[in-house]
Amino acid sequence: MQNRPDHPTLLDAVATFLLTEVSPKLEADKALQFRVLIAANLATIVAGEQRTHDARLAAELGRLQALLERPDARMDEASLEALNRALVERIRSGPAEGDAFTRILEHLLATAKETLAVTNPRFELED
Amino acid sequence: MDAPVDRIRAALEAHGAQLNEVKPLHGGACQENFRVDVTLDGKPARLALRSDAPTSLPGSIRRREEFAVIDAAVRAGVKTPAARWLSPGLIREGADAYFLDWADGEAIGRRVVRNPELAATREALPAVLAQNLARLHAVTPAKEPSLPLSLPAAGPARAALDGLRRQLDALPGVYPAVELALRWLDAHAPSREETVLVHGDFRTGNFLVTVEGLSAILDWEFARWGSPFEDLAWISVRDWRFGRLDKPIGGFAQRAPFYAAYEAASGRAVDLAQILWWEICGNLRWAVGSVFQGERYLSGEQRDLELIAIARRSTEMEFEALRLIRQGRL
Repeated sequence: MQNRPDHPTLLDAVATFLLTEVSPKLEADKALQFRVLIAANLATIVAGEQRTHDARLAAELGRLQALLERPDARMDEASLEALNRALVERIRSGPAEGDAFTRILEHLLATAKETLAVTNPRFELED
Repeated sequence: MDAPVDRIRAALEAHGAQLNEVKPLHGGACQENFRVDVTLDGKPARLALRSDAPTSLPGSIRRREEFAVIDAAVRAGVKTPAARWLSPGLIREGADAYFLDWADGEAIGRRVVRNPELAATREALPAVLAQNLARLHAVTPAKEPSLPLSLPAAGPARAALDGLRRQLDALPGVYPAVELALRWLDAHAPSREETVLVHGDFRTGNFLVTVEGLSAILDWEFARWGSPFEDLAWISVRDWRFGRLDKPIGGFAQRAPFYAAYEAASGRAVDLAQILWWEICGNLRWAVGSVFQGERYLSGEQRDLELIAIARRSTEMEFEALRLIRQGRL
């Protein structure tokens, strides 16, 4: 299996090509140019998500292990989905205020911030 | 079947208008819109044409209902182009379409909130929007019993929550952030509510403006019987500020003057607790709505790059809903 250049590098190359070589040629068709920018942005997002995937997975899973008292849960995608389904069950049957609610809220805010730092670096995260 | 342009020509001629040119318009992620130039009473005139799209977002009404809503809004004195003629099967079989008057102006959100030549318009906008909203919210089920919209039996807030829950249950993914916000909304839902005609998508991007001021309020596809506070709050949903977070009313104004103008025009007190509830609900609605935009792409019915790109932005709206819950005030 060939893995060089790796996926994020290829996607960044696609984005750079769209932004520097294609987009400037489309000044006469702003609607198409806008869509080319969307395409470039998507490529950049996927590249960033791949580069940070392992770190984000570990952070979210680590918090879920503590929150759901499941320290032995495996550190992989399937485990993440299973714990998130367990979290949803807990939310549905749990309180709508107080400490237990706040702990889940803080975890979900942290997860959202970790995602947004990659998918939209310009997004204002002050709260 | 004839080509769409032949059917458009024939439909116009039935109303005494001759078709000169028809041109598709971009920017409708939900509907198919066209600019139609005609000759009417011997004079050139411009119309817009809106058709049902192959797929739509949950909660949206069809063009047939939209036609009736616009008629009621125009009669209530809301500044929106009059809908002229309803024509079934114009663009596609089974899809209703209607012609409406054309209005000029800028609707692109980031230009509306930033273009220097629109500075005076932005200053005047809160008052004029508040007045239009007050006129719209004076329309009640008692005054317009024949409008083809269903009444929220348990009240607008419960209807919004039920709609969100249904949409969420139809999605294959798991969305804990949406679930937590829904849990909060469910426990804090307002109990004393009025039911009035709401626009349902009252925000920057759906107002057409010029240097002269407000030109038209557009896009009635989410109109429904709802709470006046849902329209008042939706305009502040984070994505509709187009990067101007410091201007919570649509990216162009502060809250206080907008609410004061609405109170003066409507005689209704603005309840900030209910605005907060609806603003959280609005951000959540857009979080779920944006995921659904992606589902429309994945269904294969509408292969539109914008739809699938919007789906990956739902975390932004989730974050804002959770942030507001933690903050506990506007």
